[in-house]
Amino acid sequence: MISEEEIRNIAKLSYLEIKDEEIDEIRNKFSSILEYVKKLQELDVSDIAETANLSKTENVFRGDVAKEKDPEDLLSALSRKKDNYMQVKKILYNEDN
Amino acid sequence: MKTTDLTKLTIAEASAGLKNGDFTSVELTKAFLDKIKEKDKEINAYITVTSETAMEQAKHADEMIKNKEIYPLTGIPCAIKDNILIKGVKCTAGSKFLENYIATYNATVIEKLEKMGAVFLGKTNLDEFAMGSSCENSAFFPTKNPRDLERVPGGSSGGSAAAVAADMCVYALGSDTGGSIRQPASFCGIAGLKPTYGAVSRYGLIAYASSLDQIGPLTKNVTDAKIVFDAIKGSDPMDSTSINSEIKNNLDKLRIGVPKEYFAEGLDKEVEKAIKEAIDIYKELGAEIVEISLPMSEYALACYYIIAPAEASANLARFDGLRYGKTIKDEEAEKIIDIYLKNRTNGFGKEVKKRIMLGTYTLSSGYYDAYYKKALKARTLIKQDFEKAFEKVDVILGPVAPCLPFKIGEKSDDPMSMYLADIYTVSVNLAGLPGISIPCGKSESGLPIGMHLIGAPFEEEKLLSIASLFEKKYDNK
Repeated sequence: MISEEEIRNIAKLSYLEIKDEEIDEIRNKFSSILEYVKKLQELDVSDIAETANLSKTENVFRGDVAKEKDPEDLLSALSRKKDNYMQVKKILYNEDN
Repeated sequence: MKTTDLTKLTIAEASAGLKNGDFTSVELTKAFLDKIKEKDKEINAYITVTSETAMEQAKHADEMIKNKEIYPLTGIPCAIKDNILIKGVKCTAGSKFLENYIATYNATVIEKLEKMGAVFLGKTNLDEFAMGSSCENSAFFPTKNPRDLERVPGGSSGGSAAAVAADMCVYALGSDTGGSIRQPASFCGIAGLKPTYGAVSRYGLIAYASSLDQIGPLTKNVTDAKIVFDAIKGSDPMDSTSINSEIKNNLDKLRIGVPKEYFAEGLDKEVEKAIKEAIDIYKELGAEIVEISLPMSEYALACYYIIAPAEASANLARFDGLRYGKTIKDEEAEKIIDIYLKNRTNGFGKEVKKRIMLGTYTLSSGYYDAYYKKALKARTLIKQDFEKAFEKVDVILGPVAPCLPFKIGEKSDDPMSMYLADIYTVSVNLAGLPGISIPCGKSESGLPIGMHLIGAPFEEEKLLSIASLFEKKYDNK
């Protein structure tokens, strides 16, 4: 089964907090899925190419034309703003404070 | 007009009625809004009902009809899955994270429908971020199956399917990443089409897994599915994966492939019986039934549950609570990282967190080759399976889901048993094919059973004709 430490590390990479009481449930559910997807290990795919997406390979181009948009639409969704700018909390800090 | 209940009409019937002047779009829309008011208390299909704008759109449609500017969807009231953006309308994706988010632009499909004078009744419930097979993962409430209120409507487009089945809209749009249109259509006894990857623009669809997501219609019958598909298809500069392709229909002698792997262990006996009876109907219609093999079928679900969460973990990284979707108070955060952590922890439900973490895990160094890369290679094999099959047959026929609509709460504790509900549908997304679910029978207890027809890429036209052949025969039985 996947370890508690691994779960905590994945949560950190995912920007998610996990409560102590949730750990066991997550470990269980996670493990049952990982156990199931192990099935793929049966397949020999050494000579097979990868399919990451199905879209046609050619690039799609369009002119870089500016369009009039009402900035209010976007600004209205911001959680905090000041003078029509997005306002955020402290970005630079020491890890220990 | 004889029909007393306008809400029972199909698109084709309603459109004819509007054109004839039997009723107006305002009357039609009013009938649906009344129906929603009366029925949605027990079904819970809608998250948001936009009565006022719907009535304005209906008035506009009546003007268009008066001026003889009539498209097949002019004045027809529809419902939209709540992960497709309508400008100015709340769009939650079934998540607490977006509980108060108002869409700032229209999805391309909405833009197209709006130009034709469509009427949007509201936004329908879904599993959070389209992750689920029962609508129970909605952060707000579960939707009930109109055919049996103790059971789930399927998912993730469960609200859309329930709204169509309960006559609370003429048709609905949904999205399908691993079966999210077809499985709820099957559970609710209606038609649901997942188009070929690239056939319909996804601009304005809240992304779950971008190499799999497609928007498609949920309708009362196959004819309606075609009408909606024709209205929303086509290339869009805002979605580089969308293309204008000639939708083919070259049907001489109908050959239907039946994969032996689809009738293996785990298939409900009543579902199996209904599918076999459907095969007999096609035989009666003169089709040649060809037994085929899709040996990679057993790996499709494993492949899907690596690829979809991997893409989801990247797609959902954008939800940080800064530009939209705030879930915490200012004083709860001191540093920017607290905002990310608290908004995401607070805003996402359990299933979404699990899939984000699963994707993060399989993409992380040390596991990438063993999981993600392996799944991409397995995906190639799955695609090749279908390519080989379509050399011999026109369409592939099988069940949509291995089980009947299950009870609310029945599968919510065991993730694998829930995931197995998608075992027949995910491979179609992995291979990018079109697939349709149409009703083909009922269980002894009266629950709907759906048949799955799978087509070659961009052969929707053919797929729909073949589905329609069955539907006509089945309806007359």
